Amino acid sequence: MKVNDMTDFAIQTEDLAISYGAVEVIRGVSIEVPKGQFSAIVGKSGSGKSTLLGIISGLENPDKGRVLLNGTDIFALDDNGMAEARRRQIGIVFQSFNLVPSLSALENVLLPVVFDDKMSKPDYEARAHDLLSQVGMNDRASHRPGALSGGEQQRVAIARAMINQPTILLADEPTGNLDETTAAGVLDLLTGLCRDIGTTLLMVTHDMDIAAKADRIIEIKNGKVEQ
Amino acid sequence: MKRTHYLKRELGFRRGRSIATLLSIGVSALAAVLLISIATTYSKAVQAPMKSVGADIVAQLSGDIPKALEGLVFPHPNALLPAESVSKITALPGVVSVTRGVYLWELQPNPYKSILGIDGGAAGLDNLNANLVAGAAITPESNAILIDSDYAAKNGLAVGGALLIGDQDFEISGIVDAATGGKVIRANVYMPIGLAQELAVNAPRVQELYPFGPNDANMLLIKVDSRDLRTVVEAIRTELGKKAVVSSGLSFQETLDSVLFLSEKIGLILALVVGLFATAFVLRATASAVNERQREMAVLEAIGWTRHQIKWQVILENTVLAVLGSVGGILLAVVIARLMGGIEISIDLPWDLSSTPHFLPDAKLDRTAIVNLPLEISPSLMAVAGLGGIAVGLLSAIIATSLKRPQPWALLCSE
Ligand SMILES: Nc1ncnc2c1ncn2[C@@H]1O[C@H](COP(=O)(O)OP(=O)(O)O)[C@@H](O)[C@H]1O
Ligand SMILES: [Mg+2]
Repeated sequence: MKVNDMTDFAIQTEDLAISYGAVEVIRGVSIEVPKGQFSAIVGKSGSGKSTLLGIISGLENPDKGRVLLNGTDIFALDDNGMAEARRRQIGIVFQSFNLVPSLSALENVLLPVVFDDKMSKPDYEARAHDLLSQVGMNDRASHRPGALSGGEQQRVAIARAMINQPTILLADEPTGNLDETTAAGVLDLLTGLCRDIGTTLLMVTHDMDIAAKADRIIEIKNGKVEQ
Repeated sequence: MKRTHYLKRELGFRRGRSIATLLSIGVSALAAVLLISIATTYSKAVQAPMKSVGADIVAQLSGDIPKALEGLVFPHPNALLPAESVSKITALPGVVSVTRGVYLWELQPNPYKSILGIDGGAAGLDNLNANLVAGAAITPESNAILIDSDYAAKNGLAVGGALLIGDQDFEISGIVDAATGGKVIRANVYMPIGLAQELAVNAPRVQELYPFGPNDANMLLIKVDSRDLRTVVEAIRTELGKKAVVSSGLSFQETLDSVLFLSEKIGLILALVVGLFATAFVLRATASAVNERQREMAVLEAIGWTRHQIKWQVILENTVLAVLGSVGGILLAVVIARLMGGIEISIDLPWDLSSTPHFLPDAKLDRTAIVNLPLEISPSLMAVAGLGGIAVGLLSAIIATSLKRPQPWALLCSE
């Protein structure tokens, strides 16, 4: 996917809709997320926040509408194009970490670039170590997720999301499974790393304290954007 | 990090499942290879009696019983073969060589003995000379005879001595151990065919039944191109008519098939059933393994692997297990085959193929041939089993990864 510099928006959605059976979960959502900012999607539990983020990531197909990432319609891309977009342009951080249990922290960070030749393997490894240091996990690089706490796993997951210095970082309740102090640390890390390299951060949260730190807030209510 | 490193980590991490898949492929490769090799070994056993003769077909004609049982006679299954039939059989397509024989019994007043006169050549005198345990070989021109080692022992005969046949003394040139050469076409006394023809021409009890001439025979050992065995056997039956006695590997096949539970066919069927069960098992194991990894596959998709790369990663893992399992199973089969050594099979020989008079109790021959065949696993069998095991692993992985998967996002959001 090519970065389209003609648009000021990292993410645009046009009239997105999705239903599960008879339940309309997203009902005509059009949002615009400016580049380089931290935007928060807020709303009550079950309002459709995660579903919206899933569609934006291309990992959930909408029934209707378009998603433009840096100006490119992602659902018009083929398997390769979509994968390349996720590998090079998008990082995703989940509430439940989603590390690969068989791999060490370092290997998890390197997993996105197994097939990537943008940099040499040693360069990627150096960057992975660097990222693990930034998230305070380099001394745990050889540990498997099973041997790490929730906060530590999320730090590794953040390092993994940043391995290709994405222009967009999508985070779905990244601190939802963490206790308050751990959550604060992880949040600072995430926002700090994105700010450092100008990554657009779109974070789903139901925590208004977190949302308060965002440049913009998008509120979802019953599958629609609350104006 | 390379994909192979991830693969190793994954197989090691899910050790239980890896071992289960490995074992299911390994055990079925092992079972299939052993069963087929046992079955093919059994099927080879039917060729053993004929091999000891050095021919593929023995052709005889059954005849009449002499009016008096005295002197030199033709046994019942050894009537004169018409010279015309002999040359027709020799000319049959697929026939490689024909060795003629004259089989005789000598009855009273001399002690009973069976006598075989035979042509030179691989299926004839050469075959006998190869089993010489004492003395010297004989040639088609010799005036001397060979005698069977058992017969020599029983009658106190030795090389250099003489044996009375009819009213003639024959010099004993050598002693052969025909037992090691099998029990088919076995006689007490062996001689060049010329001497036996002469005996038959001068035997009143032969001449009273048959116009046997100095160039005739009453038995043919025929070598054929193995592809033509069946057609040649049929052609000989047609040529010799209703009284034909035609023995070949095919005849033993029939007797063995009724005795052995493990014929080649049944071995194949068993191997097939084992293979089918294993395939079902591996397919199930692979499907559940892929199912277990739906979430991980969704993670790979989320971090930028293509669906194609994800699918082949899983297929590669299963293929590695299939290769290791197949190779392990086959190696184990080879080891077990070595430990088992061989299979001993006893085969009942038809009376026609070494007739002894039933009216002489002490002249009876033990008619079971015990064949000991090494259990061998051929390279082609190993190759087929190996490729089969790998194909099963590969195919089940392709099928399992081609099934419709849930949308990745839902998996990634679940706890
Ligand atoms: N894959 C799915 N199948 C069926 N229903 C779903 C699925 N994903 C989400 N939903 C439903 O859609 C609604 C919105 O879910 P979600 O987007 O997770 O809300 P939020 O993240 O705002 O809490 C919920 O009622 C949920 O049960
Ligand atoms: Mg949610």
